[in-house]
Amino acid sequence: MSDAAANSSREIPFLFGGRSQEYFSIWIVNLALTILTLGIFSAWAKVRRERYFYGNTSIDGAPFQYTAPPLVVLRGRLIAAALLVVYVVLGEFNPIAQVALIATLFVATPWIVVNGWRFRARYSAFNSLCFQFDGQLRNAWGPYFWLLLLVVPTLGLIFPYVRYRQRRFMVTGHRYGDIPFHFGAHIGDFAFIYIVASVVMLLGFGGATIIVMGVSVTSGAPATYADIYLLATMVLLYLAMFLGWTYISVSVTNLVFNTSRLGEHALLSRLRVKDIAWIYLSNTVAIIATVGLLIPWAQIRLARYRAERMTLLASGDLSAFSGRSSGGQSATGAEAADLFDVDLSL
Amino acid sequence: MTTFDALFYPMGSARAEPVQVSASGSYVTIAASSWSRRESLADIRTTSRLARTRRVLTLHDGSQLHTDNNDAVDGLIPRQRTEQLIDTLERHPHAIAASLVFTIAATVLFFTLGLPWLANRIAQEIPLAAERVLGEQVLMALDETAFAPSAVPESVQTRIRERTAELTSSSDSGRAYEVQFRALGDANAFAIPGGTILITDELIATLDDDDALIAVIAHEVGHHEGRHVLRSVLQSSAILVLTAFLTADVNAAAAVVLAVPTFFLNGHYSQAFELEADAMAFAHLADHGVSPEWFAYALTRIKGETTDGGIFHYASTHPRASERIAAALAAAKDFPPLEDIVAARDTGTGNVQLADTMLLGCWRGSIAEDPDNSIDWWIRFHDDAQLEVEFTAHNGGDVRPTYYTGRWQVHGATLATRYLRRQDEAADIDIDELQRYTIDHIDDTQMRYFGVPGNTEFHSYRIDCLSGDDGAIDESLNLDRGQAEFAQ
Repeated sequence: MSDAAANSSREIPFLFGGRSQEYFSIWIVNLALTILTLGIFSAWAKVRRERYFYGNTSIDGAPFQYTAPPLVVLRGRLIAAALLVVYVVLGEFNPIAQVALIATLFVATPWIVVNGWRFRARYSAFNSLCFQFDGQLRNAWGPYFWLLLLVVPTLGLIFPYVRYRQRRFMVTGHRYGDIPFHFGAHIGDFAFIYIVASVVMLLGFGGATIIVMGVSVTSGAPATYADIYLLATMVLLYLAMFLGWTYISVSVTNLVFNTSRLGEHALLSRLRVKDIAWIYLSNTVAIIATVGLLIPWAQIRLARYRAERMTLLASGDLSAFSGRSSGGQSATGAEAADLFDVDLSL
Repeated sequence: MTTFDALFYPMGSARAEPVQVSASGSYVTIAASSWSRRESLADIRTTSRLARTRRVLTLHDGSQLHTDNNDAVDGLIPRQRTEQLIDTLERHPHAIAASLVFTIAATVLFFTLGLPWLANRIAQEIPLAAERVLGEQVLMALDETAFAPSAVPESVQTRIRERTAELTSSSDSGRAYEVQFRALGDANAFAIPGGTILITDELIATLDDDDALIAVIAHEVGHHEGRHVLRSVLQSSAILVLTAFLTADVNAAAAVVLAVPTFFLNGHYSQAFELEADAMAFAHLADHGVSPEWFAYALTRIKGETTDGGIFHYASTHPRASERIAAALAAAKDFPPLEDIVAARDTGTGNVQLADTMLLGCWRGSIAEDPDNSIDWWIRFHDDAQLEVEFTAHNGGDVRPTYYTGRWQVHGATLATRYLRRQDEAADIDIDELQRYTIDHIDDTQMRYFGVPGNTEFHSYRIDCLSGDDGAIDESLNLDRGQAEFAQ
């Protein structure tokens, strides 16, 4: 909120002020209310949760705002829940119809994606101005349908390009106030990330197999230990996959943020693979060990880390933006994306 | 008079101006350094209070006031009751503690009692026809992937079907059950949705007594009567949907976070169903004069059922075998021990006493003074009810040439009876004399004579199915019995 419109570039860190204990209170009370109302309150709970995380993330003293009306969220939630129930029931009674439903959802992916972003952007605000997503549905068909059809025939080789197109569509579709975001990453950057990840994962798979086979052969282990070796191999394989996945997701996030521009402003994301992998792993263990009671702690911890590693490279006046103030759009897209994990941060 | 500092954002602008907000009556005055304006309180909308997050007051023209002074805002604008309640609860230690206790109690109660009750109620409403559709698909899928056609003779299949029909004729539901036979490679039985009970050839081979087989079938009938497949489908689906909702916002390796409770809950439900099916089976068996102890006997015979699983037990789909056996024995307390039952049954047919039916015992009797001598036998039968018996004598470990091979017609229990008569003269049994006996049928009942509980000497037998008259062996079934521990 510096009125002095400094023209020089400044580094403004993102700050996250959420506290585990405080959020735990909010989380548990809202969870209890959700149970008491047989799930209806979950829309309000979701809005409060989002508001808490947005409201505690700030740049230069100004927090983000989440402004979605709970009733709109509830409507989206009901539709998504109905879809999920139909999906699960079909899976048991009529697998063919379930496949048809999956196919329908796949064809609907562009719609779900566009509406999800539109919803989230419209109800996200900063300094009273809201974000917008005005990417057109017709432009979503390429990255979210046609190109996806090519993934299998090309043995996945086209995937970095698909991801590049998806991210480009996402970033260029967003605006803050009247200013659109600019996407600066190149296809080569994406290809590089996926090549490194593939090599690492292949080495991991190969290494895991060799180690496990070597151990079982040299020790001449009896057949009864076969299960243990199988388990060890599985764990190593999953670990390799998890690390590969984390590497991709972290690198793509950094790449997209670091190459995007909003007017003269830029972002610097410095997430590290080992940090994120450690947070994910330890969060998972903590959540399982405490039958879910550490979920708030885990979420706060992740949000804090993400904010800590994000910096705004402001060039000039941050409050020079104008546009539409935060102020309807179907929530179904956003909710369906949440529940069905159509989320594109694969 | 309430006064507080705020940031004023004009409509459509990100540029804030510090202002002072003061209230008097039903109006507020917003004063900046160079201007001031008056607003009716009724025209101001405010976000609900949430922890320390900044409050946003939206004026009628869309401009906004942002302030961290939550108390002042609350003093200014009367809050909606429910919003106030939620905020109060979120900050009240007792409410937080109560929410924690309530959430845990509600979750535990729902998953242990509520969901099973609900699933049961819904399952009762689902027509059997719908379940049959499900069953057909299951069977089709299993036939394609796991099962091979059964080699159990038609006569045996018919007998098992008749006994099953008899067992279920008086069931509450009045449902008819279809028994199907398949080869799988494992001794097992399945309740296929829609009323089909599938038993494997290996189960029939492992369980050497019809009553033991009926005990297992009764257990599967229990699964059907309790609509367990449907209930289990409903329950696991509910878990899936609910956990998806509860953890939709958990982004830490979500699949694992979801999989662990799902795994344990489904194991818990499955164990409950097994115990319920057991209880129903015991009641059914007792009603039809079959000792529930046969079920315990069956469990000890089926490989893999006797392991208790150690710490993995809680994730297992089946309860501890030791508990199930204990329950079966408790349910059988009004029945005599199995040995007595078998003995009484055979006496009843006027044929043989259990203790006398040990064919091998007869022969052993003849060589008791010389432990190096023994006589092995093979018994072969095939679909046309012909029986072939082969005796091989061992002497000091050397196998002498077979000195008898013949093909007999088997007739009821006559074969065994014949041996019985010979028991006291076993030492000099006349092999040729046996040839004169014509027996037109042999079934497991006869086969069982050679492996009854209590016989700790006899270890294995082999059944060869011969094709046609050329005597070529079509299929061999080797049954290794191990020590029959059951009698202890």
